[in-house]
Amino acid sequence: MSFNKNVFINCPFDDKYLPLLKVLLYTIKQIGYTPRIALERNDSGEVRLNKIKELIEESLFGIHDLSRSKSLQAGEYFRLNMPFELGLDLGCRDYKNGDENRQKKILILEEEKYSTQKSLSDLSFADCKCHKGDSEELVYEVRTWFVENGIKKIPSTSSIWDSYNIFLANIYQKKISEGYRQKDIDRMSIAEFISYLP
Amino acid sequence: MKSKSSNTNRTHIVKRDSGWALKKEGSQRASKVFSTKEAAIKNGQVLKNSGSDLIIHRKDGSIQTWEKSK
Repeated sequence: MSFNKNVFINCPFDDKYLPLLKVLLYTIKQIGYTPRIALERNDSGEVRLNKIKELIEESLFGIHDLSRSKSLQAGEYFRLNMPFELGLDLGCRDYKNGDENRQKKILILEEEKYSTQKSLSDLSFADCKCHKGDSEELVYEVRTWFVENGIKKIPSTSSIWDSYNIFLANIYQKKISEGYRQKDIDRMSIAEFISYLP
Repeated sequence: MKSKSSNTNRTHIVKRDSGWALKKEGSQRASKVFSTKEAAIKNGQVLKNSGSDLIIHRKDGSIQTWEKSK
């Protein structure tokens, strides 16, 4: 897989975020790029951090969603994996040898505008994009970012969004005919979902 | 799953930022955009009665209900 076409995805891996992750993967493919994510393969013998570092080093683009970094109730730990991996990507860009790493492009996503700066003031320089927890809005922000980074001739937000809905209908129809139930389809693994991406 | 040609026997109710659109698969534009999902579903019954499956999507795009055509 080509470095110039790879997009490293750093995001929460939980049921609530899953719909956003799916549309993010689809959008990246529609724009003509390859999403790379730790969930694309699952080998219990593989050290996860090494896998993540490998994916970061192999990707020109990095999309980091920090929207779930904060704890939601008293006593809950806040989630540091996403900011940590963002740090790795920034470090790879700025400290690792190699011209191609200097070219890395990084997108920071958040659910609530300016929320990232409240806990990560070091990123006050950063122009984070806000998806408001909405799938269609996420398509818009990611597509806009690619355009802002010089990627021309990509489908419109509406086109991607509408085709995504059709894509989900096609998966649904196929899986139902194979005997799956709604619950099975909703819980489809990301690795399997990626295998269906056009 | 590779992309397939449009299935014009399917009509989708999909989220828009201005409401919910009734869109026949394969058409460039939505038939109409409704301010509520209920209104879109109600109007979609006409198309279902005309031989089109009505696919109602959730806000995240996933399938809420698939109503077979009559």
